[in-house]
Amino acid sequence: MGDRAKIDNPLPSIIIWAIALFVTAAFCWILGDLLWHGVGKLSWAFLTTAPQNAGRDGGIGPILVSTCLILGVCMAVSLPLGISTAMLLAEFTNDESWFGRLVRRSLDVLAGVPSIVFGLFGNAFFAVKLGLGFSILSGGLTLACMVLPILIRSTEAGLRAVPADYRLGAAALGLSRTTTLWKLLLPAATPGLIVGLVLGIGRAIAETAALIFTSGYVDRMPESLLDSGRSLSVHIFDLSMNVAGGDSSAYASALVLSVLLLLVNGIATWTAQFWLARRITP
Amino acid sequence: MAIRNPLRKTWFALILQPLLPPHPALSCKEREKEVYFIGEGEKVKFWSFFHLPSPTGEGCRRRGEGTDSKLLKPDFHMKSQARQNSRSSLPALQTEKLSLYYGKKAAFREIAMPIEAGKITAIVGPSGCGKSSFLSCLNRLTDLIPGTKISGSIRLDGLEIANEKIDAIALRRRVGTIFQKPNPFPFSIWKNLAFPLQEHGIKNRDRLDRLIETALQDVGLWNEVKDRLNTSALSLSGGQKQRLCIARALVLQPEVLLFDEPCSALDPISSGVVEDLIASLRGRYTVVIVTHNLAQARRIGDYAALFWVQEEVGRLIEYGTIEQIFTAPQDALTAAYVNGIRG
Repeated sequence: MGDRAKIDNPLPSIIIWAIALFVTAAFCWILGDLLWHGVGKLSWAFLTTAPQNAGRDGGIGPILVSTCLILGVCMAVSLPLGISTAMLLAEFTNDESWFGRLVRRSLDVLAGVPSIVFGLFGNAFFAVKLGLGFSILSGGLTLACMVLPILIRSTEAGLRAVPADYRLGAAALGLSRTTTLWKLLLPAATPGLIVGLVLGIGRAIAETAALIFTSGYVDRMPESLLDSGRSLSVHIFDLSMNVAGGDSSAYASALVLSVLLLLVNGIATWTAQFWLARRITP
Repeated sequence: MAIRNPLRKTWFALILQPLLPPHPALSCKEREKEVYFIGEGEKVKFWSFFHLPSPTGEGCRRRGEGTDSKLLKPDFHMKSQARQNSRSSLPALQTEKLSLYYGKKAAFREIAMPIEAGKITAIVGPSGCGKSSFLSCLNRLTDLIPGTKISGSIRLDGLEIANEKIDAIALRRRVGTIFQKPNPFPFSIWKNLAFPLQEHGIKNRDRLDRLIETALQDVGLWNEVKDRLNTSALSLSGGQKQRLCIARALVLQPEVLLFDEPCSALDPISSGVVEDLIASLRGRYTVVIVTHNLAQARRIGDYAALFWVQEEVGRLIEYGTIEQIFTAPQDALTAAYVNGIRG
């Protein structure tokens, strides 16, 4: 055998390492840049007070609240819908059936639709047609439409990845399909669900284009779900594009957004694991 | 009479099911034709509307039987004691002209075979001859595969079970299956056995513990796992997993056990343990075992059946007692197979 490292061509491993380093470096650069420019402005007051002077001064308190509300509406709508649709697709429709194929194909197309189109749709349907106006509710519902395809497809993949042995074993014990699904398959599919959740939240929290048309960009504290509210990403967009001298606030907001994303993902992962996977003993 | 539940098999049941009281321990659904409801109380009507028996088992009795029907009493201990007192109450199976189709392709055709009560019937034959498919027909696990169609007749104690109207879920309570690959659920050892029991309506912790201990002792696993019942079942060895799966089937007190090559995924020592265990079930359960291992079939079987592929379809070539099949086979193919010339 000899020393493999000497015999092998080192080029492939160098390339692979370089690519990995490049990806990591890009991530570190972005995060570092945010920290470098944004951390100076960050304080408890920045997180809690209202923006002043078009966001150049003051904080992002109401904007944080709006963001969380929009995300909350989005998840409250998309999670139950997404999980039940995934169950329907994975457990109650045949791979070959026209219905399953139609739904899956539609979801794949929907997942690729640009967010601006979702924004226009949300504006036309939720804001105008249903009369919700520029509001956190219409923003959240629009985001739910965007997130659903990702959530459904990854939960479905998670359910399909559960070994068929479990289904067969459960059926052989005289357990109904429903019981099997709720108590065995769904907990076992938690990893897929978590992936969908994390991707969905990531997409929702970073969304700008769809929200400008639906939840608006009023930066005061929302009083109800029917109030217009500015999300963090819209705030960052506004500060960096429309407000001269708003850069430092934009950096700080972006930093907060990144931290929020990590935080929400962490909580989502933990919750999913707690609620579903606690039944499962690895 | 039981009214067909309009929600059954629809995905709406998905939402409704958790709202309903838990599925009771025993079902009289499969006796649809023979069961009548005594007492037209609201409770019975409620359950029959949802196509479920009442949780206490009251309200339904088999025609022509006394009050104590082993089918309808949900008490496991009573049931097992009743069985130990009268071994003859084990059911026999009989298939007539049984064929199974996957779409248009037949897996096996026109199989007529008796399965004696309380005995071990071994099914042998080469791969792809429909042995395992035949086995899954016996508790309608074939229903899970889309596009399968059973024709012909399977009678369990005279009850026709190859019938769409028979509730397969209740049937599988009476006819358990153990698969080739051990498939414990990703739960703790305790939960693996408690889960099916709980789903069949037994919630009392003491009772669960008793039943689980009995089942684990039955398969000789109790002393090995009694100190770690809360650890994952997936951490067990292959042979232990398979014995746990057997215990999981036994804990529900079935009457018939179907083994689908239960030893072929195990090492020789575990295989021996599982084989002895199956042999020890003789007389307590009606056992059908599919095996590739002729020596094993000869060691533990009372009866044997040889399946073979003819014109791409599985056929029953010969059925008889073990001695007949191995020492005086009637068919030339059987003789060649048991002597190791073919197959």
